[in-house]
Amino acid sequence: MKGKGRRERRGWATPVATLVAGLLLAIVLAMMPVRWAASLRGVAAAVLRPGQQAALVLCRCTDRAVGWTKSHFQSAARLAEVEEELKWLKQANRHLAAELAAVRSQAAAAAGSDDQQLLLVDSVEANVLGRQARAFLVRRHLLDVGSRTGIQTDALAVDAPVVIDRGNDTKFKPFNVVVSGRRVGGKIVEVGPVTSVVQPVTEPGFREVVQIAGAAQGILEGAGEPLCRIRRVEVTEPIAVGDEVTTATGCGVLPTPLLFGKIVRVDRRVGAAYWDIWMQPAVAPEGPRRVAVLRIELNPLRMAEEKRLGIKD
Amino acid sequence: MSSRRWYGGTNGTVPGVDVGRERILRTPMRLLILTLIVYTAAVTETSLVDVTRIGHVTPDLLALTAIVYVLMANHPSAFVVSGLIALVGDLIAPGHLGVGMGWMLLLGFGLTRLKRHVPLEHLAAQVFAVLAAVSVWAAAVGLTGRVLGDVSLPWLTIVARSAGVGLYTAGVAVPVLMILGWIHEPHLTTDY
Repeated sequence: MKGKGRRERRGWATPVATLVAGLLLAIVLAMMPVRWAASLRGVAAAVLRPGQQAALVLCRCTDRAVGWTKSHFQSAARLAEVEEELKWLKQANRHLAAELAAVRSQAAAAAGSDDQQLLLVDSVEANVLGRQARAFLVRRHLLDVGSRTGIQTDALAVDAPVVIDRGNDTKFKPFNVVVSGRRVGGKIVEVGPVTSVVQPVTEPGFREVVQIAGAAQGILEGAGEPLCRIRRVEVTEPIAVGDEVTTATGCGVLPTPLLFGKIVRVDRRVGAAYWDIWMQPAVAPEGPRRVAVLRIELNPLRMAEEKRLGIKD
Repeated sequence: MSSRRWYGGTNGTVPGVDVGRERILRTPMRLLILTLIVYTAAVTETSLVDVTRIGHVTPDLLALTAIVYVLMANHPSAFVVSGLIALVGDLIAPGHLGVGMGWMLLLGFGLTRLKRHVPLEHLAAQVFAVLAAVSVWAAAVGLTGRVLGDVSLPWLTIVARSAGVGLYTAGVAVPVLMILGWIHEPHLTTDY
């Protein structure tokens, strides 16, 4: 045992000596002047430079490959997105085509019915003139609305609640309905060469047959107040606040009724046979700046047909 | 020195093979491979720091090479090679030369002695050895650099970063040690 231990110690003697020598070398290196160390580092850097350049090239290639792969995946994702969008657009296109076909068929049906109708409705856009515009026209003797009826021109035109910038030049006639969208704002009462006076639904003297909730009929009257009054509606008719008041379809020539407003108050006096109904006009009291005037004309196709038949007879 | 130790394990003896001739044939090849590995590690440490960095910590590939060499080689003077590898690290790093080399010589010598008493064949044991050795070496080098004025970081920061370097390097060591284990496995299991 003693011999074995001695052999082992002898076996480690050389490594220990090597270690001591290595440590001495390390100390010498640590104490080496900076200039010498720098020159050694310079040699090491020169030896490593080719490898560093190769590593940089490899890095660039890797970056390029990663970029290419990334862009490839992005392109694939974008392609999938575009395909999805295309699918959606095709579907939307089919829906729109169906809607267009439906609208076309409706238009064709309407055109067919127009051919048969005796009266046609045409709309002409007009601007509502403000007070300054009216005063300007008065100064130039252009605002002669009402001269036909012998009323003092300027007074009527300037004081009229609403004046629009179209008149006989667009073949307006009294009682043409003035609308804003599908809402009735009033009707023309006086027509001049280039201007017309409009009577709003709230003005005293305005009267029109109306339909309530698509059933009961009554007479709408302007009361000079923000609300209009509807008379001659029997108490047997079911009327409620919020019901829509429209033009009487049977009395007009439009396929769909126009809106006057909504009922805001319903009263009934004791023993009365008719409701007292108050309506909020659909067109605001200050009114829109641009309106459309509905003109009723004879259907030229029907007239031509009548003439042709008359000649044949 | 027994020739079988050059085969990378106590069970690496291959009966019937001319061990001396094998050693002569293999030693230059091993040196060449080791030089290439050290060169690659040095290039990686100097060129790809930004790629390998996690926070303030990068793996010390040269220290890893040195420690793994000591773990794998059964030569009693293997620590000399590890010291030389550490010297390469000193040459590419700022500060005094020889500091990393000296500490690696001491550490390698200690590991060589430790291997005689503690079995380090298992992967987990080898990874732990790498973790401990690299952490201790990095801390020793950092603290020495602090004493010599090469490093201006606080003491605790140096220790903490050394632990981080050890951990990161041990993580990198896992696949390396697995591959080396697979390379050595046929020699261990060959039965003639």
